[in-house]
Amino acid sequence: MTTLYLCLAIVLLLSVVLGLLRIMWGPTAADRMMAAQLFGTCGVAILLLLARGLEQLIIEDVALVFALLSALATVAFVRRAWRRDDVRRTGGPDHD
Amino acid sequence: MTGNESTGHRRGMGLVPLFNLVMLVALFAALAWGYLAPVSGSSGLAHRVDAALVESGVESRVTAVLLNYRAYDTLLECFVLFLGVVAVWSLRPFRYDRHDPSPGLILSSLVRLLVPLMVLVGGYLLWAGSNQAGGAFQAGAILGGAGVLLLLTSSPLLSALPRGLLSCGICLGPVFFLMMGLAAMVLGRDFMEYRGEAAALAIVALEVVTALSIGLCLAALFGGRRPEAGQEGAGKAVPSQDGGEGR
Amino acid sequence: MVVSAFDIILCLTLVWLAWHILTSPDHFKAVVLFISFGLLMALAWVRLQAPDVALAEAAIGSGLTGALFLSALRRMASVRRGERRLDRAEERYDDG
Repeated sequence: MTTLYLCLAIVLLLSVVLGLLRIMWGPTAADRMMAAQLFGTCGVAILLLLARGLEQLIIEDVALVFALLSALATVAFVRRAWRRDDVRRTGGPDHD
Repeated sequence: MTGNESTGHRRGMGLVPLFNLVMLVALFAALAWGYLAPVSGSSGLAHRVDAALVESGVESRVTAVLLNYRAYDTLLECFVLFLGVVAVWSLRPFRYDRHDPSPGLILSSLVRLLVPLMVLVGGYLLWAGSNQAGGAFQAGAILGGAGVLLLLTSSPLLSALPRGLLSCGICLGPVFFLMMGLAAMVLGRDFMEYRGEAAALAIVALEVVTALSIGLCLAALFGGRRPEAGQEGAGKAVPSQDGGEGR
Repeated sequence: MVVSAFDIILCLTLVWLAWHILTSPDHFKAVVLFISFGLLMALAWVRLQAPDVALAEAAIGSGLTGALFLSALRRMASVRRGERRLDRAEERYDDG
């Protein structure tokens, strides 16, 4: 059973790697941020699977912290960076 | 960061990636050597830490090292954070050119849901720190995260906190740390020498106070400028932290 | 065996990611990559049997630092625009 958990963790890790490609290619800032947000969810799942697979229940605490704080970057993005969509494209808004 | 700018920039510094690559290879070689080289002798300091764990007042090795054996490190870390806040506050204030619109229903509900949970988990980590992973810094980071969340949504809770309390909270970490160290001296021990029964109490007190102070410092660092009296949205600290921690 | 496969994927991804963070000309992309780097680094700390560091990394590395960087990015954009306005004003002054 633990092997199954670890295999699932690897599958999720590979999906994180695929998400990284989206961050690399993502045409808009929102695409990139959503991929990073996916990592938050994936990360929690990987940590929980590792906690069971390696039988170290302390890892569940890490998952808990992760679940709480992964939303922070997205909130910062929505509040601080998103309206400035041009930050991504040109590095400086110069439409004045 | 404009297209032309960056290509010109990169062409001008063609050596930098090469240098990075060389450094990376060197680092990997060093790590591989460190990993593969046979370890001689004993396994570091682990057995000495374990031997002294009985009178350190806590059951977790990491907490014992951070707050008892090597309390100097943590004290200096507190001072680093404190000085960081002082430095940030002494800079010229910066205002974002457009004022943030009020957060929508979804964001404010999220904050209302998440902040109490963060305070709860921060408290849990603080409590768990004495016998497993966790402790003051982790709890402080989570409380700081709660503060950042409130700052990002310019929550009305922020303006409710008096400025003086914020400054006190930020100073409290280093000051309390020093006071506890001196108290140990008054009791006839060395500076910051905590042992036996009293150690457990001292470390719990230290952890609670430093966690609150670290949380405030991190949120203040994110806030970026000193809140001015009576100015909305400029505050940093998190009143719910203090309230939540007391429960 | 499964665990070492997990470790190898994790290590390779971390190095690849670090390389892209350092070389990316697009600051926003670098910030999003850094946020995901925080996640993978937390997983690495978990695998290195250091749950304390993993907790701190999960809280600081991906949550707080990500929010801080996104704010800094916005601030850089504002500052740069201010500088451009200044340049234009100077040009106008020189012309006149």
